Amino acid sequence: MSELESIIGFSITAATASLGVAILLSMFNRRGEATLSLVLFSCFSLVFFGIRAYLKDFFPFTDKVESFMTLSVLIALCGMIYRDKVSNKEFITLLLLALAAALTTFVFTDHIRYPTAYLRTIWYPIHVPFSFAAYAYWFLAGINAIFAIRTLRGNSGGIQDRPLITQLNRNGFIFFTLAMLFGGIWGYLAWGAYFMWDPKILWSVILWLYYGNLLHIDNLPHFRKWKIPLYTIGMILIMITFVGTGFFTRSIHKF
Amino acid sequence: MIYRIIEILGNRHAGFILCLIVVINLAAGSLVMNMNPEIYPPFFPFDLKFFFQPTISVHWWLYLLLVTFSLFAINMVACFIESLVRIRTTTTGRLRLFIGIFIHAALILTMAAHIHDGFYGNSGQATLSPEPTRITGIGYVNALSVHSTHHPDGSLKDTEATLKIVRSDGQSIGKRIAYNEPATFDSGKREIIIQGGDKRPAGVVLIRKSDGKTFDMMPYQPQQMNNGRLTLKGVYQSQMGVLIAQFVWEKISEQPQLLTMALHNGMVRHNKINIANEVLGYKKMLEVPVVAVMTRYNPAIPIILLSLLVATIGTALQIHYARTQSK
Repeated sequence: MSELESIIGFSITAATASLGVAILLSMFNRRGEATLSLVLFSCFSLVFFGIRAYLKDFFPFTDKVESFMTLSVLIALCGMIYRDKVSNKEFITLLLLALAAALTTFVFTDHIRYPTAYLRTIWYPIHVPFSFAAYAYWFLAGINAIFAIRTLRGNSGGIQDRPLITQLNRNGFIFFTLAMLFGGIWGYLAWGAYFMWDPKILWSVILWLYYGNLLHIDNLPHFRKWKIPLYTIGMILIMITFVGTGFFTRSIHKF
Repeated sequence: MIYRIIEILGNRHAGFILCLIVVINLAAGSLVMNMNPEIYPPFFPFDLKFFFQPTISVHWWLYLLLVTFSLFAINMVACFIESLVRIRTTTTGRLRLFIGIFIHAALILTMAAHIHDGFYGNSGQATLSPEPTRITGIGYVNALSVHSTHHPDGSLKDTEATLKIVRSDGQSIGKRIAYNEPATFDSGKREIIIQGGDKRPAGVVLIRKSDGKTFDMMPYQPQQMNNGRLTLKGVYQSQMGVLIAQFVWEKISEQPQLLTMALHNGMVRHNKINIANEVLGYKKMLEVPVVAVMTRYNPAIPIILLSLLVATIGTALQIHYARTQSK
């Protein structure tokens, strides 16, 4: 057990280091080497998740270390998928966000704990990665929006449509809708309610409505100029939903 | 004229603003709930009646939410009808229109289900044992058995219980419940959800030293023996943490006698009683299952199931659309 825990410690450190190296290499436009470093990051992460799954006898998405690592992996994965469609600066910013999530895991004391009885259902482990995948897409949309603020200032004649932001939002929205459906089914089975007055659930509804609403903005000429600011604000809402409700509220989802 | 009214009510710019207001309203509600833990119990099911019994000013965000959500719903319904009309005449972009129709229909249905459940649904708590417990809408429920499994570190893995339910029409059924596996009734509208369970000491098995005969002693169920009768009054825990059984021994010619017995095999001097020159020793405990459950009644389940179906279709179409867009 302790040997396996040592391997977990090594794998998470090596994964984080690989991610850091990938960022440095990307800064110097060493694309091939950066990709290799990201592949290493993925491999070390797989070792991390694999051993935890073995030790817990369950899917490894049940504590804060695993949650932040899952988010980190999914953000990096999203960056790799959209690497050709975003600028190098946007790609590096997204990887920095993934690194921040990975580094956060070192803040916590990591105890391997078995999942509680409520978590032992198939609906929970598919609910979590789907919502984190949505966060990853929406983070990339937000970063894309932040980098578009400059063009917003310089362009008084109107804002470009930036279809990539909408495309990223649509993907995020699909994942989040599925996460909400799976979470709702789990809630019904575990607590008899698909919705409860719980901060995390409430903020998930807020996120779903907010990003669903933003999907319409391209077809609303009067509001199109708000697209960039609203997608930027969206990142704050994600942070509140993921970190804020997880640490600073009385939520059942509290870490 | 009607179409014009629908167009005005379903104005997309207005819908966008209304949705943002709903978002701000929900965020404000979340903050108010978090700042007033003495008013809002943590993690309670969707119960709108809670906010009206009584109406207090701190619930302002919920009352406002009902207004903003209603306006948003009116806008969405109008928009939805307008899209239905438009889809008949449009030849391009029909997939996007269909996605919009399905996703918005799912949202409208979900909101309707929430209102229905919020005002007409209810939830309660019950403790089930071998004695029948009446649960409104379900019938009389007995816990027949309970079994818990644990992880190697001793933490709880799962608890499962077997229930016997006698419905109001007299039909008797058996159900197994466990964490994430509730017993459902009436097409899922009613649920019995496990919240915990264990075995509780309820009685004692005594052994008569002279012939080795055993007696199952349950509270207030007297046993005839040695020309008298022995009754278990109850099982208690002493200040030292030892379980103690109290008995009453009655014989026609004698005064009733109060007897106590330590229910522990190691306490050889105290784990027996003497009655009519006979020694009765402690053999083992008799345990009964006790299961803590939550009961739920949600009359809106058929609506939410329809919403789930519509949302699934809408999402499937959206996945198809996203794939065509990314090519």
